[in-house]
Amino acid sequence: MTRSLRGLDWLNFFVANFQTGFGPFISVYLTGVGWTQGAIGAALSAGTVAGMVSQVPGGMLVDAVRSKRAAAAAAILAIMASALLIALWPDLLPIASAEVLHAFASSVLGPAIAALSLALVGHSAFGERLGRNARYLAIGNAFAAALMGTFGYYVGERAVFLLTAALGIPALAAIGMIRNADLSSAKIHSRPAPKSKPETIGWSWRFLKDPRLFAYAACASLFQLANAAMLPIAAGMVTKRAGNEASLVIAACIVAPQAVAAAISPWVGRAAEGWGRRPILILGFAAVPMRGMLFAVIPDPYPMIVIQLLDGLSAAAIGILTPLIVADITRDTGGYTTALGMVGLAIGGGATLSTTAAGLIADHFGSEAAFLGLAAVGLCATLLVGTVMPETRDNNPVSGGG
Amino acid sequence: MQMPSVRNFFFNSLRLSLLGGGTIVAGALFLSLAAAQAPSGAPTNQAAGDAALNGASLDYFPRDHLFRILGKDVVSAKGEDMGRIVDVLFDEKGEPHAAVIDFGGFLGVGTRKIAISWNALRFDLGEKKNVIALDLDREQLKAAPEYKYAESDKPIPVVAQPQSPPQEPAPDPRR
Repeated sequence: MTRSLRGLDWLNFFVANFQTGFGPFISVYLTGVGWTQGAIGAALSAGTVAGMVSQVPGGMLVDAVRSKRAAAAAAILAIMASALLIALWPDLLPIASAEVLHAFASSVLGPAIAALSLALVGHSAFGERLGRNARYLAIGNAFAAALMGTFGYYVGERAVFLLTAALGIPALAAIGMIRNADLSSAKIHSRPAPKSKPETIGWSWRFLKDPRLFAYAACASLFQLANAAMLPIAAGMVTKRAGNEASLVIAACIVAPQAVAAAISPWVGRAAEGWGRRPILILGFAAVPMRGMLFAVIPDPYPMIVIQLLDGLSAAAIGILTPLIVADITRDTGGYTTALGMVGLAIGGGATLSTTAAGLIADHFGSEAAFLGLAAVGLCATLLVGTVMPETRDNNPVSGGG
Repeated sequence: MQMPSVRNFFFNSLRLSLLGGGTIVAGALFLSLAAAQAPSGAPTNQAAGDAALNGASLDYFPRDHLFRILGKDVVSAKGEDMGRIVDVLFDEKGEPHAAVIDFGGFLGVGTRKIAISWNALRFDLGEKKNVIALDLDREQLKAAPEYKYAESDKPIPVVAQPQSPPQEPAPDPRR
């Protein structure tokens, strides 16, 4: 069992690399190989659209597939393939295909890891396990940003994608460490406990009628609407105000919240079990309007790094509570990752709208106005959690997982 | 590498797939770039007399005589990394007037596009092959206003090196 749990740790660690290289960094790479800005935008929006479209199908696939390990492994292989495609064949069709492939694979990988975690530890210890997942993910993110920054600078941007592909190998090895015997579907379906194919027999659309799912999707979407554009706009301001050290300050703005998340995630996971989901959710949500206000008031590069620490709190809270609350809501329905995909779609929609809307506000009224606008949305999100989102923790677990 | 049939294929597949109209425009942009990179722009000196060209002439240049400019690194006189050229702006006479560089940031986060006067660029391509030198440094560029292609109703801010006869004012970022 410990071996399987250790494998899950490392899986989270190595999977973090898959996000860093495919974000804004790909446009740096494509610029370097002579792409026009229009073509870069086209390829990236293909990935964005695919990322949204694939959320729900990806979650449904993970629900339907018997082996979550196989689903995770296939997703990792697909992401490795897309990284290689990007590195070796930077033409529009291959790059757009790689972006789409990566988007679909990511929509499978995230839910697959959540499902694996739940199958390993069961509902009773899920919060704590998610805290641990988030810690390793955060360490992996910080590590990836540092490694890729170094590689990009000294070796070249192409090397970053080769490295990303290479890091899929230890991720696959980590999946290999997780033993099938430790994956107990009985823990998820403790109450009906059907013997054969619990994933399909226990499946019901019941969770779709659960208002809590939609309440959480709305809250999470609004959260991302407030949150997603904050770092890009703050980083733009750093570029404007700091000269030589701008890159270092932005790097710190990316890595510092990961350090915070790595430090507090286990506590967040435990507190979500001990205090309940709501207080932690409100704490994580409230950090966003606070951050927006502080960015608007103190727009200097070095204080920005300190303000960004709040992002670590938000990231840890939302990163742990999203899979946890959705697991609470879909308990015994067999629709866990489908519901997770639906929430993922809401979050993705919020994030996409955030960068567009805040970018427009920043262009026309300045960064301060954009930060204040984002803070206002964040405040609404926090109030929404306070009013419509009920506590989802099962207070008297009926033989739940033991 | 870009056979017409391949182009048509991807163009159609793009049109058919989930991408919006902006993508098609961008795809067309890409196609026109690909076309521009085909061996056009070669001056007509020696008529090659190739029948297949229907009277057009053809020249061949050594690889170190012609350079593509998109994606080229720009460094300051101090050796600072100033970003990469992402676009070139031409005036009515067809002369390059400004280069747009993608400036600053880390891993693509926090970059900003700034238009820089063509006169501020030094093409040391013969010696340093892959970089273009810029007479401005990071401290001079950091507060420069962003170049936005979409803002068709506003004048384009172009940062320039102050001329030695101090007739022209130093680059004065408005914000």
